[in-house]
Amino acid sequence: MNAQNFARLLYRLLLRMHPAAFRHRFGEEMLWIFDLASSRGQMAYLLLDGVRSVTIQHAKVDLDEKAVAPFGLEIQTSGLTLGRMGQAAVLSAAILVAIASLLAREMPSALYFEHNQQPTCGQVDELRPTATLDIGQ
Amino acid sequence: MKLTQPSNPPLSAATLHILLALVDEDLHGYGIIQKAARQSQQQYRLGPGTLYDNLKKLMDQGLVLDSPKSGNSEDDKRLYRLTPGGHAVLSAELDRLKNVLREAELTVPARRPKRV
Repeated sequence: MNAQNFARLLYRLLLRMHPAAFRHRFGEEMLWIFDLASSRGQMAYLLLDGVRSVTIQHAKVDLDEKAVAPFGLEIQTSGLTLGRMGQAAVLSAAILVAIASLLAREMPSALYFEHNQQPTCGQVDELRPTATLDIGQ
Repeated sequence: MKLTQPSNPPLSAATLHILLALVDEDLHGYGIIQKAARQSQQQYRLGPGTLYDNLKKLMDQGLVLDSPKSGNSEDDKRLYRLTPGGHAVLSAELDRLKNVLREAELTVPARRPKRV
């Protein structure tokens, strides 16, 4: 699985984490835009936008629920469930991939050297000290 | 003292760009993103999450309509259209921005090149 496919999988998981109503209405179009825009080098921005969108949409749902819930009624499912740990893992992975993608874009020359350039004989010679120290004359 | 909400509060950058993109043609989501980038000389980048969050808000307010897909083909994308209410809100915002610019030109001294 290459980086593009992995980012797409992360984005699909992010879409799955949106509230159902929002996901059913816009999820397909968001994935379509991700496919078009990620091939133009905007992967990091799209993933961060997805993380932001999940946060905002859930915050809105929470606010709506609190607005209609009578005083004293709290969220019924609390605690660290397996589902929540999975969601946290997806969010963390999306943020990490986005940061890694940004760093890779900022340091292309270093990565290029690492993967594509082996030092030639001439370069090895250049690295050797040219000055000699004469002792005992 | 009671604070009152202004009748036409300033629009967010995302909302303004979406309304501006739809002012003369119906567009699908990616078309709106591309047009907003073109209108801002690539200075403003709209992500899909931000776009659809704002479109949902605008549709709930009746300022934008979405048209159903025309056919069964997967290439048919939903188009978004500005309503007369959306046109009115955009006009009001543009008037407000013009007033801000006019006021700025009167109060902010013109920049002059520094003498070396």
